[in-house]
Amino acid sequence: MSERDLAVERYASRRSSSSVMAMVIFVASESMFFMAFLGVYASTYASQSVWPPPDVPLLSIGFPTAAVAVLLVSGATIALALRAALRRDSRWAARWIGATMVLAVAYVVLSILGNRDLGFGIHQGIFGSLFYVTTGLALAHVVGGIVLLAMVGSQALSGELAIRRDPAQVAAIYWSFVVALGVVVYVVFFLLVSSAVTG
Amino acid sequence: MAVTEVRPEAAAPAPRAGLLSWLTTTDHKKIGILYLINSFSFFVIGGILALLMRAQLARPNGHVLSAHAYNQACTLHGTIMIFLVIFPLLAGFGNYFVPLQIGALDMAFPRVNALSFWLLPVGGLTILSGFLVKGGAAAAGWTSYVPLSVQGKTGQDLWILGLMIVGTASILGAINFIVTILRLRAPGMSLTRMPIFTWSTLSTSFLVVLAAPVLTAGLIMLLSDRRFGTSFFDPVHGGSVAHWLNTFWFFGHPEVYMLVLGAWGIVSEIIPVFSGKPLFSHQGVVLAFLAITGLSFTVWAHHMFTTGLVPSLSFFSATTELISIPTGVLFWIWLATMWRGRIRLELPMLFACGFVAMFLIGGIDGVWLASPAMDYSIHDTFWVVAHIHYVLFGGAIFGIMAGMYYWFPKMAGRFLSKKLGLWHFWTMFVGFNLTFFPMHILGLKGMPRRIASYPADKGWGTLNGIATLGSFLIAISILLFFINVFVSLRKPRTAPADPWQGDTLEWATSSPPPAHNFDTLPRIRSVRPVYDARMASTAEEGGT
Repeated sequence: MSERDLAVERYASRRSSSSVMAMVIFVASESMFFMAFLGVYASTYASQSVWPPPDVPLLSIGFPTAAVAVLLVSGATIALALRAALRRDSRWAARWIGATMVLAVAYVVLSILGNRDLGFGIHQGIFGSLFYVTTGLALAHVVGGIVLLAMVGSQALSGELAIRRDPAQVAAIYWSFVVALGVVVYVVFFLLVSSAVTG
Repeated sequence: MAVTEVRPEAAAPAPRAGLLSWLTTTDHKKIGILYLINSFSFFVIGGILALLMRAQLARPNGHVLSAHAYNQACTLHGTIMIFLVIFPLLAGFGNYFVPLQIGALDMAFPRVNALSFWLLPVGGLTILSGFLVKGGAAAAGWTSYVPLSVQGKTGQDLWILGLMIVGTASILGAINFIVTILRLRAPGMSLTRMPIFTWSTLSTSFLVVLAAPVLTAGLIMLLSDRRFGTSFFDPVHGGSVAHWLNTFWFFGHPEVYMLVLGAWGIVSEIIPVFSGKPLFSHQGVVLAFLAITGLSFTVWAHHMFTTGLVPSLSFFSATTELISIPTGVLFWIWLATMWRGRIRLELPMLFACGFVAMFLIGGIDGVWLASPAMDYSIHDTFWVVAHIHYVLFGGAIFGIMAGMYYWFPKMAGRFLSKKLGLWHFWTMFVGFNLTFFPMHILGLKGMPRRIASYPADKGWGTLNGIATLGSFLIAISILLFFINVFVSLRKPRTAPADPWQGDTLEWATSSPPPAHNFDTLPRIRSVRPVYDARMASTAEEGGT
């Protein structure tokens, strides 16, 4: 390899690190965004004698549990996609990214089904406000993730992931954040609330 | 197989020229200049709003503005100056000089950089468009406290949307700065050798990335309460006004440091150069920046002492007092750098000295506010207006002007006129103190801030008259600055690469720099690579 090629290779590896670092910082920033909503939740929870408020009916956790299970599986498939990309196996990377997208769409559908007939609306006090705005924003992040996966998937199909690893790394970092966010939302808004009502 | 090599000159597209080159540029230097032009344009608008407010308050029972118009002017003056002037001015310097200071070709993500800039005028015009809708622009103050901001008209929605756009621009820009600084430094440019202004930009960027999203979350809650019937801030339905106070000030206090860290960085560059000495402690300044960055996340509730919603006044008072220690270290380092130096009182140094003196006053009157006992008597009075302006005008704007006089020859290849610059400095210095020092006394006399009028029997008229006189003197000083820029831009390019005998890498390239920034870089073996190269060259000349 000539000195110039080495310089190009060094530059390329540096570029990929820049994208990955940018996504890590972006995810940190997004975490602070959701921390604000969780902070409001925690503060409200601490100030209320009864939680959830008495006018909030018992939440069914069937669909949300199925949704979060699907999301966790998507966390595994994106990890497999990343492994394939790191092996420079663009074909398998494309397959696993495709699987992740299917699971992501399934999560969105299950979440929407789970949010039908909840028995309370966005106007119904602070719990309704927190529930709809936070879960809605989390779902918007999943939809954004599907768009990102589609972009990286097309790069995998074109064989680009055989020479560049950073798109897969970037997608994996973002999707891991989305999975963690989905789990937190499930625990805070469904699991803890249901156990509080039934307990 | 025969291969015909394409000569790079022939393959490269012809560079765009004229207005289109500015509209489509991804060059960090051009984007930096666009930031400066955009910010100074908003500075004029924010300044006119300030003059209208001062005209209204010049005498008791003023009739220049209606109460509602005064509230709009007050809200947009604060919003514009904070979000669309001071912060973007520092981002403009950052765009132009951070890649140069670290020896990089450009920012890490040039197209994202262009997007970050262009979102700013869009956000700013969205906020200003409130003047065109029924009910006028936002009128709930730059802090937009609830329930006032929940009740406002459409202008308040435009304020929220505009700030979300500006916030997005800031976050994208901050990510770009962090990656650029951490990934694209030239060989030899370790973190310990990084210029102080670049360190200040790095610290500011971390503040933006971690604090701005919290404001965005608060803005979404506010918009949602206003338009979608949610109850985040409605105590009747389980919400609380404290949620807005906490989200706003969790962002709002780090925001103050976002606005002054860059100015500290500029002044920390200028003082050593014009004192003929290295900075007394490079590591000391860096550690102070890092300490302030960390501590700034622990002080937000000092804005809420009088609300009765703060669980521990003493904790937030202590953290606020604590932050004055690293700030004091900075003053000490600046003075120690000047001590027994060969001081050249050129315009950048003059503004830097003005900054040190004025920011000191802003720091000291802030310590008063950090004490809950004092805060209970002077909260929401004109004392707070004096304090914020000694910090953000006496601090940030004086620092930014120091940067303008320091870096203008590098950006334009021309010097700003010293004569006009001296007039600019002294009119601004005198006008600033005439405007804002009396506000301390007005605050102690009990004059509340954010009032559109006051009765004659309060005895506040004379001091308000002086403040108004001073504000018009500031306007004259800014006019002199603009005249200076326009006149100087018509002069021939005479500025050499290193007109001030600088220390950092931006002085190792031509003025203005070429598109690719550097033809050659000096070896980087200390925090002062250009000084090292100058000394080596002098030694060589002496040897021959």
